[in-house]
Amino acid sequence: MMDIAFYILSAIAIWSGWRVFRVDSMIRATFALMVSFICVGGIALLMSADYIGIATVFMMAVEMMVMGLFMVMFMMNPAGLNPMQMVHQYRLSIGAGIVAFIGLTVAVLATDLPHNPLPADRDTMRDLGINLLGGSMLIFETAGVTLLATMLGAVILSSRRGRFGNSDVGAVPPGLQPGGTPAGRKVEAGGGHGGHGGHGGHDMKIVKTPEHEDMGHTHHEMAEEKPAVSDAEPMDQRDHAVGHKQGAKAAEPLKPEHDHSPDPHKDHGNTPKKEP
Amino acid sequence: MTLTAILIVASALFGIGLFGALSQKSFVMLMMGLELMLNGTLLAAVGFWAFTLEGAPKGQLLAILVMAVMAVELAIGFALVVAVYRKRQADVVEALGTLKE
Amino acid sequence: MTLWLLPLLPIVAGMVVAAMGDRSRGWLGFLAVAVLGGTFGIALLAVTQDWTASLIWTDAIRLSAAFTPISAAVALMVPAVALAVVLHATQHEKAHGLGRLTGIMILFTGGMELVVVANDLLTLLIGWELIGACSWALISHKWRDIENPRSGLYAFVMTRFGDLGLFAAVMALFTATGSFDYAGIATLNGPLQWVVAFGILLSAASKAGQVPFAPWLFRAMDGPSSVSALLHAATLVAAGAYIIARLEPSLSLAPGFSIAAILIGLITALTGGITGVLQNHAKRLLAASTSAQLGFMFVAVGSGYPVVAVLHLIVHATFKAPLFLSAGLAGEAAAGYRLDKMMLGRSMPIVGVLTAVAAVGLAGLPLAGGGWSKEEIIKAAEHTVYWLPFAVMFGGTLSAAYATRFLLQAFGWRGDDERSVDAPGWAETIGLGILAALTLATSLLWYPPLSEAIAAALDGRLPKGSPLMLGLSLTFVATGNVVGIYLARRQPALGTSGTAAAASDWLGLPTLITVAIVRPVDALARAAAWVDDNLIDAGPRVVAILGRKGAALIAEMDNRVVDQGIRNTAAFGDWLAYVSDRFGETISDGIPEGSARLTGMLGRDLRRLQTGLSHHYYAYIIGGVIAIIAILAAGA
Repeated sequence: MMDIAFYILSAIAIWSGWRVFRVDSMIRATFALMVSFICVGGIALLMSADYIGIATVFMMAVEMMVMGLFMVMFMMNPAGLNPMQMVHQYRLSIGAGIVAFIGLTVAVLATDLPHNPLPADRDTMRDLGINLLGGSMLIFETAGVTLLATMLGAVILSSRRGRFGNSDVGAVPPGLQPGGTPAGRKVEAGGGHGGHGGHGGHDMKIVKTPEHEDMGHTHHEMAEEKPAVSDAEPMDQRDHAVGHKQGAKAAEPLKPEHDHSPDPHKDHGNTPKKEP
Repeated sequence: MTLTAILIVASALFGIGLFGALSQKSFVMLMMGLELMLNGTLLAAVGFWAFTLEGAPKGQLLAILVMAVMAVELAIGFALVVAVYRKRQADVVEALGTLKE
Repeated sequence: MTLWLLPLLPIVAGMVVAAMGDRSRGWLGFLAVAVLGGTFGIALLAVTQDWTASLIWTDAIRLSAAFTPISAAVALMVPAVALAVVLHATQHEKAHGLGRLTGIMILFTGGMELVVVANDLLTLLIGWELIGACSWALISHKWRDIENPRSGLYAFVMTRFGDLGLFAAVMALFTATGSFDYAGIATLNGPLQWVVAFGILLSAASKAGQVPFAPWLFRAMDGPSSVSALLHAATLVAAGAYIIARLEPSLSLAPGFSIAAILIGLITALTGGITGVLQNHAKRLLAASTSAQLGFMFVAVGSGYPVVAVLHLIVHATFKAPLFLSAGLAGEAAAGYRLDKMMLGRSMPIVGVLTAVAAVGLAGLPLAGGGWSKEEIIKAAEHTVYWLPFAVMFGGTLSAAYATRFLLQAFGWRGDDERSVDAPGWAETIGLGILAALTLATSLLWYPPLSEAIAAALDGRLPKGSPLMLGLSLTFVATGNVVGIYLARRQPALGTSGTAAAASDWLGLPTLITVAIVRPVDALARAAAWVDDNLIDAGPRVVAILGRKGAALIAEMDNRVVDQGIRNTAAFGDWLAYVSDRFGETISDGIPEGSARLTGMLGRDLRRLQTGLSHHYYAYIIGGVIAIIAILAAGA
């Protein structure tokens, strides 16, 4: 009985794992990954690792949510409307995967694995709990501190405002060819034509400013609203710079870059180089 | 459900994850590949605990550690992706070519 | 003072003068007079004070010099005559080479003095060789004319041959007595005595120009006339007569010596006389007469009266020297010595008169010193065999004949003389004059008390002769004069052609010598040389030829084998260079260049790995991990 369940679960895990990279839709890829993880959690449950199984399921659910969000943010084809395969070194990677699988399998088959099975009547959960807060407290605490550091690091890394100015200063998209001119609309110094997109950008900017509240840059946004209207005219230049970006990324979710313009001279005064 | 079978499954997952990590252009898909690899590792850790450690809780701790690593890696990874996008507007791996110099 | 000074002064001074080279006539004349006058002075001192000298060369060899009365007289005569002759020579002879001539003549005088004062055979020998060498040098004085050195050599070789006798005598004496002293000769007996006596006689005869050595005197006439006057009239030839006169008491002890001396002398006197009568060459006539007069001296010595011989020697010197000098003057004036071409009486009257004074002595006329001494010889000859004086008288006839002929033909008056002849200057006639005066002085010997006194001083005695012989001899002399006048008047060219010419050369003696002696000896020498060149040298020559052939063979082998080897090595080196150039270069350049290129390519390819794209790096990492695991697995 358990074996059958094990086989089914493992098969589903492997198949969905493979499907992650074959589907066109990104969200489906995310969900496939989640299925894989859930199956692995199920296998863990079968092996009486109750806590781990359940924790895996929980964790993966949330992770996939986050992953899905990032998919939508960063990827071109989140819905998978166009079939596309964005791969490189395809054969090499297939080869590497097969080699790894075979190598590990051979290693597994070749070694003489010790056999000390779990006693059937062991209360693993209880043992784990006692151990976590007893003998292995250090591991637990360390893990906790590590997670704290991770959280801090993630926040800092992705913050827009840095010590030396906004993090998206001077950001240009990479060229269509490596080292080529940046893709997208060109940045004009005193440009007028960029204002077309800029106009759109204007509108978009003015309109959409409040929508970015959920990006997490709350302190930024509070300050945004005030100057955004009053500083419409002197913003031309910067708007152009922003606008072309807006135009380039019209299909993409608006990035926080366009929030650069009103920020520096208003709120923090810590970026003197953005003086107009 | 022998240890051998579990390990074979784990290595299969590892292999698929490796394939994905090497072949995907997008950052996010790359992260998904890494996740799969760690998935396989987790399964292997649990299998080892179940069949060779006689239920010693330390084995589970290893599995918990792997999960923690997964979380950390995901978080930091995405933070980096965001930062990179801010700087370079790059969402594919090939956009970052400055390591060449 | 040592008696060595007497010969040494002229010897050293002669060498110095000869080395000085040509100077002015006055200067050389002054030097000659000074040196020879000094020599005469020293001789006078030595004689009066009876100097002696000795030199200890080694234990066995002692040289000594001393005077006997005879040697004293001759020692005084030699420098006196030499002074006059050398003075004449400095004024008359050609200026080119005059310094050498004067010097050697003075040197010769020193040698002659050494001969005279020698008291032992070794010293005599030294002086003997010295005068022989000077004779050669003086005869060959004008050496640019090849005949003169040839004549000098002829004279030298002939006299040297005679000197072998003296060498034998020296060796025999030393063997017998252990020293060279003259005193030892008298103690000899047996074969050694015979060797000594005849050896001395032989060398004396050769030096004196006796038969068979007479021809050298004729050849010696090729020298300058002063040389002839000094050497071949007065002194060198006289040395031969002198030595046997000096040693006569000892030598006559040897059996057969006296007879041999007489015979040699007589034959020479007669043949010399005939030759002289037949001669047309002025100097050769006088040379023949010299030999003849010396023959008379030999006769005197053989007869046992050496004093007479020495007196005749002195007298002969005084009249013969000026005759030679005048012959020289006449020969220069007449550009040749042919008597029939001379007749220079009108051109050179003074010389003619002086010559007449001397010729009278030669002829042996009464009231001339030469006549007196000849009479003494005849008287001496009386004391031997009966026919000897007649032979000597006949010799006297001949000498009168040729003396008259010489005088009348050389200095006779000729009415139709248109030749322009330079009379000789006063400087040249001075020497002649001195000697003519001396000749006149010797005529005092006719004064019996004087001659007795002189003979006593010379520690000898004069032979007694009969007036009959004297008269007979004078008749002979007168006959000779008539013959001479006849010849001079009627047959002036006697001796230039025909049998007379052939006979006038010592009756063919030189030819005999050439055929009998010279040619065989020459042939023998050539044969010996041939033997040496071909037989004796054959050994070394064969070795040399073998050596050459061997060397050539080795050289050939070297060329073929060694050089071929070297050539092959060079060719191999060439080939090696070629191969290395073609392939070696390619390979040896290719390897580094190839590896460099490989490294470059490798580098470029590795560079390509550095893409800057993370997924590539990720792939590399995976690959590396797989590799490490594989290695570890393989190791396990």
